[in-house]
Amino acid sequence: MNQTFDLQRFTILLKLNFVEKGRNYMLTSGLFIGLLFILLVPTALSDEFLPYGAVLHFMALPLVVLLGGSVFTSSMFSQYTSPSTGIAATLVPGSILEKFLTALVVYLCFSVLLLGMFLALHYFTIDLGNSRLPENGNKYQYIPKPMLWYFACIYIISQGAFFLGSIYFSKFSYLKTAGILFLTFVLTIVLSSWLTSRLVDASVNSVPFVPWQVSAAITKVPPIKLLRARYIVYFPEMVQYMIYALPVLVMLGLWYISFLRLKEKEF
Amino acid sequence: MIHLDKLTFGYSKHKKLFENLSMTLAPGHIYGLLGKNGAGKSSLLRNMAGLLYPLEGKIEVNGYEPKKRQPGFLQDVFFIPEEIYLPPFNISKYLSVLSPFYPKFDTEQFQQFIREFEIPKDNKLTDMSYGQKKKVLISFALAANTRVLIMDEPTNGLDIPSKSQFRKIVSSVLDPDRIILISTHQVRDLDSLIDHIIILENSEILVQHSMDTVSEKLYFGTLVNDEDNLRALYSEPSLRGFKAVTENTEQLDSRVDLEYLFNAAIKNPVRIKEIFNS
Repeated sequence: MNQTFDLQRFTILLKLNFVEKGRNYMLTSGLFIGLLFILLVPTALSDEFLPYGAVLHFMALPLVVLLGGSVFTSSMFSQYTSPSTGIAATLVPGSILEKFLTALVVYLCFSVLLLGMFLALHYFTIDLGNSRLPENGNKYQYIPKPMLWYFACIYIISQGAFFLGSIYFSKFSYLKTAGILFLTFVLTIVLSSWLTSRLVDASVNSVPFVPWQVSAAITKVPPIKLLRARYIVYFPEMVQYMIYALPVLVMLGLWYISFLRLKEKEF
Repeated sequence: MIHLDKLTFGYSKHKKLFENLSMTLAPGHIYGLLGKNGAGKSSLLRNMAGLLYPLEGKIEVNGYEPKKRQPGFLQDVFFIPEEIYLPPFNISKYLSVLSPFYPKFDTEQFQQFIREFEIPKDNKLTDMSYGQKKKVLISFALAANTRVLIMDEPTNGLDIPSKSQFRKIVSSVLDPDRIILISTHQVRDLDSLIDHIIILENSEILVQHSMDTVSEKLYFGTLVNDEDNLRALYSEPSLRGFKAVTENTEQLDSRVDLEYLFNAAIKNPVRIKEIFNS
């Protein structure tokens, strides 16, 4: 008998997972996919330009994709939060790897589905909306690619963190993970800005994963006027791809810690 | 086979629940594990089931190390905790989803136990009373036919008829390859069920013997006068004198009273050890 992975056992574990938690999965997915439609579809239905249409699309990213994904992901190991359910789940005859993969597969399916649905709906509704608008009037714009990339980085890291949080914290895992993520995010920005301001004699907005925005003094006209130049420092393409790979590495690290935590969980 | 070798466990390294415990439990027996509240019975069982990890020492169950939680180990060990959980579906759904994990699961046997325990079949498990849930889980555990069956306070929540049903059913499923280990503080529930007893007290095993050895070494009976009572390991006043446990120096036959045995072991641990080691 293979003690690490067996496809038949894995299939039964997946079945058990869906039988036990399928209803919750359907409710959460239904709620957030419904919200996605409510926010994105209005732009496609109106014959007039809706000034708030683009805002709704921007809002859907954090409100539905990020929030929905994190709420869903933070329930992945919910059966291990109380001793009675945790004992039942731990003693199901499957390997630790199979149990881990069961949660991972479900969370990946939902996360990818939600992000994919957002992108598909976003492009589809913008195109459809624009086709209904007068030729010479205002048109809706797609969300800029760099912003989508930046969001994807945050999404990948946060999903990994909520996945870990769901096995790491027994109580209030969502709130605790969200709090830690927020603090880490703020601290990273502050630290990054402080470090870059010591490196260059300029005010630098060095938010992780995106090109730096530099605001440097170019001349001082006495007595008080200060002229500043603002420009964006783009990384070489290769470096930018390496930066985009960083969230994936962080996510893999978070998965590995989740696996270890599951392995070490005692009841 | 369950083998513990110098097992030490505690929830912190400074406060150990038990230290250097060694014992071997052989197949073909029903063991009763007794101990006061907080003696570490549940923790010991959870160590054996791989739910808690020892600080030091080794545990081997059917050739597996429980802490690795390998499928081969889990499909041959069934543990019923004191606080049970059953998912929110009915019995047939529960069977269809969970029984495939246990290769020796016998559905007919399960149905028979369910009938004997008089469990309504179509109700949702979560809508059942605590006692009914426990009976469903006990039935499932017995029908899983695992080589090791560990039960922590299995009779909690069972009504009086169910307790005798429980004893009847458990004794009927014992076979030469199977170890059944039951922990309880309701010692009467184990009467005429167990054939070996283990008493855990003050981080050590005070008694680990067969019931035959216990009745050979100790006498359970009534002492008429106060003088006789002085040699009792434990006694309680009764209508005809003192109901007591004494050393069985005259090799008399008596029926082991688990409650008196337990009290004698707790009250006179040193003497009890001497008697059993002689």
